[in-house]
This record gives sequence, structure tokens and C-alpha cells, in this order.
Amino acid sequence: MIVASRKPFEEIKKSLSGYRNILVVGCGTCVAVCLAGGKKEVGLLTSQLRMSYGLEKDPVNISEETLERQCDREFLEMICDRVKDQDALLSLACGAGIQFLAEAYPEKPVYPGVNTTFIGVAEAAGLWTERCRACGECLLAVTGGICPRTKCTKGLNNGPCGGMTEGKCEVDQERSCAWVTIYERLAREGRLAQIEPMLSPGDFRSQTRPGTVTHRAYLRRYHAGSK
Amino acid sequence: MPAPSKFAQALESNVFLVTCELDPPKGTDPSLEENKIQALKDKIQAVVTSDNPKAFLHMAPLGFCRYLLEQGCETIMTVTCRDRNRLALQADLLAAAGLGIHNILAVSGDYITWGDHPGSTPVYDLDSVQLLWAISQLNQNKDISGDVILGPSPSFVYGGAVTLSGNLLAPQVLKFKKKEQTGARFFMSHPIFDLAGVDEFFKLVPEIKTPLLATVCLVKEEQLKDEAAGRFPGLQIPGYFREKFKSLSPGESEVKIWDYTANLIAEIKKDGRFRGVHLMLQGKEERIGELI
Repeated sequence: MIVASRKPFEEIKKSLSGYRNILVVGCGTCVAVCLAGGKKEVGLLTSQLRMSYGLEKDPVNISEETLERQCDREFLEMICDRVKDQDALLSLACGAGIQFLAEAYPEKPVYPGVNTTFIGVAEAAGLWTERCRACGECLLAVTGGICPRTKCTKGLNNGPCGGMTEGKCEVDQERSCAWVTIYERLAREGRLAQIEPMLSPGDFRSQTRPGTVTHRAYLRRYHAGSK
Repeated sequence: MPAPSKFAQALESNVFLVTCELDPPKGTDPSLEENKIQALKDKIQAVVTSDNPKAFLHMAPLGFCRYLLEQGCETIMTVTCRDRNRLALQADLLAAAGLGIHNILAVSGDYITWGDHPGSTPVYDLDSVQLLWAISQLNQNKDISGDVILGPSPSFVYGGAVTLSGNLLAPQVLKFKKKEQTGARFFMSHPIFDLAGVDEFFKLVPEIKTPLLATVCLVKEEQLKDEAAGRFPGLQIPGYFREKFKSLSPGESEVKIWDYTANLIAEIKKDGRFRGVHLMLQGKEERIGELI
């Protein structure tokens, strides 16, 4: 899932300065799971904003809405009546959702309430860690299901750097060196031969931004006439 | 093809090699390091210039190496993968060959957050194995896209780094072998503090065909006292070393560390497994004569 963390309250409030009617829009998927922008967090932020404006005797109307997803047009369209009366929208979705909300309502200023950080997993309660850089050239078949481009701080392709100390990363002594982990796993599975030849430099063309993926069944619809 | 570099000739000779690390200045005037250059140039086979060491900004080694050559000082240019993509790395290497810089040490590079521009983007488009391979391709007159290099081909004498000690050597050995396969002409170790600590490596790699230089670091007193402040990538000061010197008075520990370092260099020379020694004197380069 996409992991995000909420922006500091002061930053959010500063960005909303001058607006009288603000709709806080949450997202019920990834950001809800990582406790950054789901219904509960939208409620908390809305209350915090109301209290803050109330203490300042500033008449700002804060309302809230949490969509099932902000990365899907059909859900964004469901709030068109509520958006009409707003001066600004504050989205707690990931960066993709925030932008899709802004695209859906081009006449309304949209502000982010979270920083989107990475694609990761729920490692433990309240702890999310990165697993994928979305490089578009998955190496996991070769590297034992452990991504060196993500889990090695330097993203090295051919083994640990000299900064590895007793199995730990040069940058964070609390974190295991990705290449030691890869080596040990492949050794256990008898697959070390896979990483003996030099892995060639990555082909980063698929990382040319912005990325587009078309499902095979839809190629004719979106790419008719192109080769 | 240009004549082999002095370092290439030294590699072919029977001389016990001595090289020494030297950081370029953080400034525009390479002669800021003149005293160190003069102290080093006739005593060792080559000065190894660092490339934004520990991710702190310094003059580019390309310019500094050219200055060293003009001073009559043989040089090995360190190239890290941290700051440049494959285009920039190859472009700098072509410039190096054009400027007469033929000896290259290719390394990954200390991570960006160690240094003075911690918010910068780390690159690592190539890693050190791939960079060594890229250099091997340039030596064959082609870039890593397979396109021909115009004019005479470079004749780089290129080498890499290797870790000899620690308790998880197998993954390091795997990487070492990949570097060997690129045709690397020499290796420089990360700092070692005793010869017993490298036995395991030589068990795993009983036959090393490529010349290997053991790196010896002249540890600073403050690195003994403050473990965190003294830490940098690749430097693993053993606990026994720290204990041996840290309770001594400041002047006394410095003298003892110098003695220890000089003895270690002498032991490495006698040991027979190393083709030479690479020194990291951490600002004391002018006193190299006291160690070798």
C-alpha cells in the first residue's frame, strides 16, 4: 500500500489561511490503513481545525467527507454537491488522490494534508516500512524476494557496500544490510548462483515520468493506431 | 595507446607498493595541499585522491589529479557512484583519460547523509561493480551502450575496494569476485587493524590473482574517545584497539598509535599476502616519513 504521514498541523493551517469554507476530504484505502487520512483522521483534524479557529474567534466553516477512494473518478464525483459551496478542499489522500481530486474540481483550490512517503507494508502495529520503489523492472526473481533497489539504502545491484558492519547498514545501524539478507536467503534456498554474475545497470526508461500502464484488454481503446 | 602509467609500471614491478589517500581542498586552489603533495610525491607510488569524501564537498578529483600530475606526482583518481549517473561518470572518465589521468579507484561512495549536503539526491545509477565494468568497456574503445569512442582508446588501470574483515564476509567475497571478473587490476581494502582479522578472507579466497593493498588508517585520538564521532563508512575500529589506547594521556596515546601503525605496516610488508599498503593518514600526510 501507499504510506503517508500527516503534515504538521501548523503547516496545514497556514496553507488554509484566508478561506472561509473548507472541506476536509479523506480516503478510505491506503491512508486509512496507515492512520494518516482515513475517516478517523479526517474527524480528528476537522475537530482540531474547528477548535483552533474557534479559539481565534475566526468564523471558518470546516466540514468533512471521506471517500472510499480518491484515486477513482466515480467516487470523486459523488461529492460534487458538497464541493460547490466550498472555498478550498483539504485532501488527506496520497499524492495521487490529492491530484485526482484537484483534476475533478479544477475551479477549487486543493491543499495536501499529508506527505506521501512510500509503497510499503504494515510491519507491526503503527509501524510501516518501505518495500517497493516502483522501478518498473522487478528484480525480485533474482534477489530472493528482497528488493535491493528499495531495501539497500544505496540501491546497489551487486552486493553490499564496504560500509556494511556486522550485517547492518552503513546508514542505519539498526537496519539489516539488504545484501546480507539477500545472500543468506539465496544461500538457504540453494540459489546463490543467481547473483554470481554481474547484474547489468538498470533500464530506467520505464521510470520516465509520468508513468502509464494500460491493461492488455484495453490497448485497442487507448492506443488505437499507435505501434 | 599512451605509455603505461607509473602506477601501472609499479604494479608490474617487485616493489612493495605504498599509496596514500589525499583529499582535494574545499576550494579553488589545489596548491592549498602543496605541503602534503611535496611530502608524499617521492615517497610513495601514487596519491589516491578522494571524491567528495564522506559526502563532504571538495574540489573535483579530476581537476586535483591533473594538478598533481603537473607537480610530478603520480595519482589514482577515486570515482564514486554517488554523485553522477552513467553518462556523467563516463564523460568524466573520458576527460580524465584526455588529461592524462589513467589510474582509477572505483567505489560506491559514502552515503549522502553523512556529509554536508544531506538533502541532496544520491544517484547510484551504477554501482561499483558496474562502474568497473564500464571502465573495462571504455578501455575497449566503447561506451556501455556499445557505441564506439572516437580516437585512441583509454588505457585505465582500474581497481576497486574490498572488505577483508568482519564476521559476514561471504557476501563481500561474492562482490569481490564480480569486481575481479571486470578485469580490475588492483584492490584496496577497507582499513584493517591486525593480520589475524583477515585470515578468514584468505580462507574464502585462497588464490588472489589481482594485486591487493591493505589499507591502514592512522586513527585520531578523538576517534578513540568518541565512538560516534569517529565512525565513518568502512572504518571499523575493533574494541581491543579502542581499549588499548583510550585510557592513555593525549600525547601518550598519539605516540603509541603511531608506533602501532608503523608496526602494522611493517607486518603487512613481511606478511606476503599483500602487494602493498594504502595509507589513510587523516591530515597527517606530511609526516608519512615516520611511518614508512
